[in-house]
Amino acid sequence: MNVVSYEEFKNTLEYENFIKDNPNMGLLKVQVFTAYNSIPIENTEVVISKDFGDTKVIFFRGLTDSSGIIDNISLPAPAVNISSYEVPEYTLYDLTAINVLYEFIKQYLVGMFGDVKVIQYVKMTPKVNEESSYGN
Amino acid sequence: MAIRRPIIPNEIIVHLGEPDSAARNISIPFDEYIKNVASGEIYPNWPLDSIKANVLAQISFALNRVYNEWYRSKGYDFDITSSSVYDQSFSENRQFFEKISQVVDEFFNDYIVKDNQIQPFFCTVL
Repeated sequence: MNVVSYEEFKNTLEYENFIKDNPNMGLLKVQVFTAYNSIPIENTEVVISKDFGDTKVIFFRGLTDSSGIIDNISLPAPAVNISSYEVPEYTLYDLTAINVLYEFIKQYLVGMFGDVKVIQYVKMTPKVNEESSYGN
Repeated sequence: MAIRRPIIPNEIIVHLGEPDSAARNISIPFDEYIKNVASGEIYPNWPLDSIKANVLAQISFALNRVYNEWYRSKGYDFDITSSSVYDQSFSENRQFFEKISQVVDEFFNDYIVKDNQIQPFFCTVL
């Protein structure tokens, strides 16, 4: 599979179709925790991508801050009719969270809606050291 | 001294399937449970008053299950299921909508009662 950046993807014909279907932007906030949401995990790498045939486009790559958060990740999404009961269209993205000190990798599918902010919690448990995981 | 109103639990134990299915139980903060349910049963583009009405109904429904020990009185070791056939739609790892999340934070601790009853009203919004 080819992996390309969002900037490289913008130079392709596929981008024109994609942006026609996704003219608005949705915002994504990622919060990474451990210990039943009580401890944020910083320096978790978060990658937002989407597959187009055999090409994977990387829309965002970054690290969580000391609060375990990456906020306001802007992603193309379909327009949403606000204050209506229509079922809104959305575009799915792959969210991958990587932290070698915890579960290493967690993956989610995130639906993005135009002009809507979405929050995705990522819950990780610490990697257990087999030799020190038993009681005295 | 007798407690005059139900205490909102910090956490709720959700069975990830139908009551008799061999599924996991998970324990999550009560407000997170409501954000999850609300983000699955309604959409963020709905009018704000509709979102508020739904959230109040979802809180009341869940509290009714806890207050009446609906499942525990039948021998189960959980408070509520994730199945919308029996309870409210819950999906582990579901994304939330910020607008709905803010409404849950605003209404958290409120619920619907009928007449002068103490128990949270068993209600759904269609």
